[in-house]
Amino acid sequence: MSPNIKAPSKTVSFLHDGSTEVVNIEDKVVLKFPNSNIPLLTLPIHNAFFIVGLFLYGLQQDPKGILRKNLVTYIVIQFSYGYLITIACSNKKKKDRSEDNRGLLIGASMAISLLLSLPVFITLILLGAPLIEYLEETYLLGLYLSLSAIYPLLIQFKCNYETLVNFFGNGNALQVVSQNHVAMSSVGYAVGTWIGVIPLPLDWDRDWQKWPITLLTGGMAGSFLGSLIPLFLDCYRKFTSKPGSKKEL
Amino acid sequence: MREKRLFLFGLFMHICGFLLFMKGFFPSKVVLSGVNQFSGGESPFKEYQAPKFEKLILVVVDALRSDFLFSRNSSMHFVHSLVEQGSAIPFTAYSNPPTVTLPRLKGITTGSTPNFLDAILNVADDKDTSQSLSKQDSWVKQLLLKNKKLNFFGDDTWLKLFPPVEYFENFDGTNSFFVSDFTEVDNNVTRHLSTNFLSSDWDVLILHYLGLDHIGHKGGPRSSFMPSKQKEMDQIIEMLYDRASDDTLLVVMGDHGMNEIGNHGGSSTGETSPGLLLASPKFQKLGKNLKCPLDYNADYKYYGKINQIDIVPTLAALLDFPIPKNSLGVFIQDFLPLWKFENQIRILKENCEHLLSLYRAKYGQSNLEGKWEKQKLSNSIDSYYDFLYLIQNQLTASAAEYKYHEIFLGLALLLGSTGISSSNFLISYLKDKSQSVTPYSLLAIFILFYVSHFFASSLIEEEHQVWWFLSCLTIMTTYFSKQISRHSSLLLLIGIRLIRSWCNSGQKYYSFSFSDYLLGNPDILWQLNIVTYVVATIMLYSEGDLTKCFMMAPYVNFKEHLRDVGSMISFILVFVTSTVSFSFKLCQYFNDGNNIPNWLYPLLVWIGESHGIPIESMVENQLHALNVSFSKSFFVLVAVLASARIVLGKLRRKTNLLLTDISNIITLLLIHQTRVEIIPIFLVFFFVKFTLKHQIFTNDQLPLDRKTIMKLSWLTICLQNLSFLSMGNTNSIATVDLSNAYNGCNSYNIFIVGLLTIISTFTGPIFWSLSLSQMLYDQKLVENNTRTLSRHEIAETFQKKNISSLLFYSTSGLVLAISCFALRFHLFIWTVFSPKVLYFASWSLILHFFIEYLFMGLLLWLK
Repeated sequence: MSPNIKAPSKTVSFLHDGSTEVVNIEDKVVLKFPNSNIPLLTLPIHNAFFIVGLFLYGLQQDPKGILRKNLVTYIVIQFSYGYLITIACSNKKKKDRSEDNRGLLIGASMAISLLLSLPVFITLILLGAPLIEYLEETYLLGLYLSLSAIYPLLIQFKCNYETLVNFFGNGNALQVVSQNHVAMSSVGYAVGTWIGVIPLPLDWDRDWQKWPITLLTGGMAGSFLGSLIPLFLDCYRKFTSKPGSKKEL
Repeated sequence: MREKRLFLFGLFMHICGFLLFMKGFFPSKVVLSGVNQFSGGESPFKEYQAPKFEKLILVVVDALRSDFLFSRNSSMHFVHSLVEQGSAIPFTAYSNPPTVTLPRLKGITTGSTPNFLDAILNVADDKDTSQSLSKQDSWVKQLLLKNKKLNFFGDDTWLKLFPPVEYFENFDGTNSFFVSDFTEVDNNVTRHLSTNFLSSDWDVLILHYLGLDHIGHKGGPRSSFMPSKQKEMDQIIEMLYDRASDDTLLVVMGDHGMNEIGNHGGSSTGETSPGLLLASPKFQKLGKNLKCPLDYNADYKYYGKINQIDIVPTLAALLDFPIPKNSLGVFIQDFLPLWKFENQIRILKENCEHLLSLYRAKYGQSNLEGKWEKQKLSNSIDSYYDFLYLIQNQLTASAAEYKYHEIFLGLALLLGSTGISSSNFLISYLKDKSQSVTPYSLLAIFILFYVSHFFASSLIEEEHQVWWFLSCLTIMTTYFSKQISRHSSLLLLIGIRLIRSWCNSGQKYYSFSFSDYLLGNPDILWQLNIVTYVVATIMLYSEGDLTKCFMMAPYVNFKEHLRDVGSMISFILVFVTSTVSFSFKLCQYFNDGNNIPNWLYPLLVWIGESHGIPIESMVENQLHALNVSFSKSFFVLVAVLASARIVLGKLRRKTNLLLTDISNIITLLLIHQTRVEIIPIFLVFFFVKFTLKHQIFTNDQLPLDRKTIMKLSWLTICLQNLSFLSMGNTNSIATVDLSNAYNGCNSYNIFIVGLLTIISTFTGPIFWSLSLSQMLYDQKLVENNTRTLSRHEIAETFQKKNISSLLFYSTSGLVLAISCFALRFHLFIWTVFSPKVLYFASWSLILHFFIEYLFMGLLLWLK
């Protein structure tokens, strides 16, 4: 089950809508955040398939057209992915209040992430995307980025801004984030997109060096690889702590 | 103290090592002046007292790759029939890179091969007329000396090389500026070939057609316009061949080829394989029996492969004139049978003598002499060719001339310097009390990432992308490690985003840039320029202590302040300085033939009138003289301001903000040395500088700690490189900008022009190193709360800053040298890597050593 630090229930206080638990263990504050309970279900493997599919469709010949055409497909895919996340993150022990509103949550997250594509687009330009040319391509890239990196996070955190800020901004962020499957896929997406620019200046004159193919591919691959990291960490921890698993924190 | 000694030792090793490496890496070239004579006094080329040909028609078709002439895809059917008849001898002629028209024309006419330094000199003074070959020997010159009447129509690059008044009877140059024009450029040439003209009295006709090259640039070698253009060229060749008399030699050639997307300049097979065709009915007796057209092959090898410069001695023999002095060509063997056997030997002997004289000039007497004595007695043509190729190889193969001892010694010194600088870096990490690993390891990772790009030629060409990537990463990591606030990092990002888009750099992408936009919108350009000048002036006047140095009485209130004579003087000085500079920029812009916005025109008229020059009916020289005097007085004013600031500051103990004032004064100088469309970038620079300064001074107290100094110097290096590459510079020699190198000069003075060139090339980097020093050493006294830095603290800060910058320069120098050495047989070694070596040398020597070490050290000593 959850690889998170198992809290001996000394003092448990519920914040917000119960998505964050603050657990005090021997004066140390450890934050507990929602995480996917069924990691394999939330593995964004569809991203890998999707990018391969785009390439087969002729992404290299006409990036703009293909990205535009398949946006709806991707939105549909993300709807079902969002549903999987809600299933994987639901806590079976507790009565989850938001369980009834799954549809609403998914819809709202989708709407918000579509809106957020604008700030993402501006950030992309600020980080070096072409200023005047390829605006539509950049915007499409922003849309995809927002759909595949921000949308899952919104669902996992039930659109709760404070929890999200807490999640990335707490003192222990590195450890907390690196154990979270969905968050790592988002981080992987961002990092992958950033690294995806590296082949652009090379003089290989390939079709796939067109803007923004490498960035999209980097992001899609990064989200898949990123979500594997918590799995590996998990395996590693289980493997190393087997002899004395009872003594674990 | 030990740190300092180690640093000095490392710096010394770095500079010596890099200079030594360059000395071993760049071979030298000997160019002989003067005009050649026959070695034996009389011509060995004549037979029966007559030369083989009297007249020459040279048709240069720009970018005519060999397959356009000879392959099955070619539409030049008349050429094919000529080759099949045996009246034309076809070749594939290797053209030496750089495969650009100007160096290639030099090669075709003088017969010399460009080596790297030569190629630099070629491009560096592309803009002025010193290109001219009027002093160098060429076959054009030799024919002129034979009292031949020369005519030229076509690409005006020829007219740059050969001053038309001196060389050509009739001429008409076409400009290759409009690449999208496929037909006009060629019709401009062909319209001169009227029947009248062709039947008139001429000896040499040179035609240079550009249309085919333009088609290549636009649509590539398989463009749909290509067949019709080839047909057009074919018809012209047919017309010329039919009209030509028997003693006319027709030469058709490409100056260079093109690559698969239709561009040229590099050294791929396509680019270096232009076609060459010599046609005359006389060649039928050579009995060649060649098939034409041939199957297309991807190596572009059709028929005999010769060197393009071999055309020079061949023309010399066929038209009977001495081989031009610097020619490295070898007579093309296919034409020897036109002569009797003993004359063939005489021709080869002449060729050998000629190459030997070049060889002697380059190496002095050598072991070849003995060989030559033996060779002279031989009667075997093959052995003569062996001998010719032997000398030619030794003369052309500059690659074989690496001086390995010097290269290895240089590499060893560079390695030592890197070792010293990194151990210094380690020591400084250990001395850091906070013991945080992150900033040190991040710096090391960034530097390693940066130096690894030296191994990829395209990343060197696109270095601005590397620096963009690194600058963004630096800002993001400082933000994520919570060293700068969110909004300053956002402001910094916006600032560098604007800087990045100011000019296009690199070869690969050409996108929107502010400078292009401003050039198209002079109104906005001049509004921004005025704002920039105003901001720079206000900063100079009020940011530092300049006024306080001039003031008679201490500052009481603003009213008193205005009445003070000293403050008046300083205001007038500052105002006049920037006004003079602005007037200069305006007049220069007008003098260059640009239209001044209407609302500025009265100002220009006023400037002109106050110097007695009527603008409407202006004579160009008058305004030029005015510009020179403006620039001169500006330089004097800057010098007066700077020295007054230093002396008065010293006398009145106001040294606290010395660096702020000096950097503001020099900023004016930098703006003066910048092209008009780039001047507004200084507004962005000011913005970034103040964001940084604000960030530092709200967080830290001077003297800054090791970590902060290190991070700031790295950020400065990022900003320096980013702005260097965003102000129109690249890593190619072609972009060295000379438009501001002659400010205030009436005549060429290598020292002054060189200094001005350096300043105008390094405006961005100089600005940032001054800003850094301002942040490191100057602090505004706020209500007597902060103290000034003591001498010892200044020296320590200086030392700490130097350690991180030396780490960067020594590591980059070492890796760059290693990559150039390892890739010395790479295709782009002369076009990409070597210019980078030169650029790096100037960064390291001029910017790092002279400006950041010596000049800053001097200022700090004066402080």
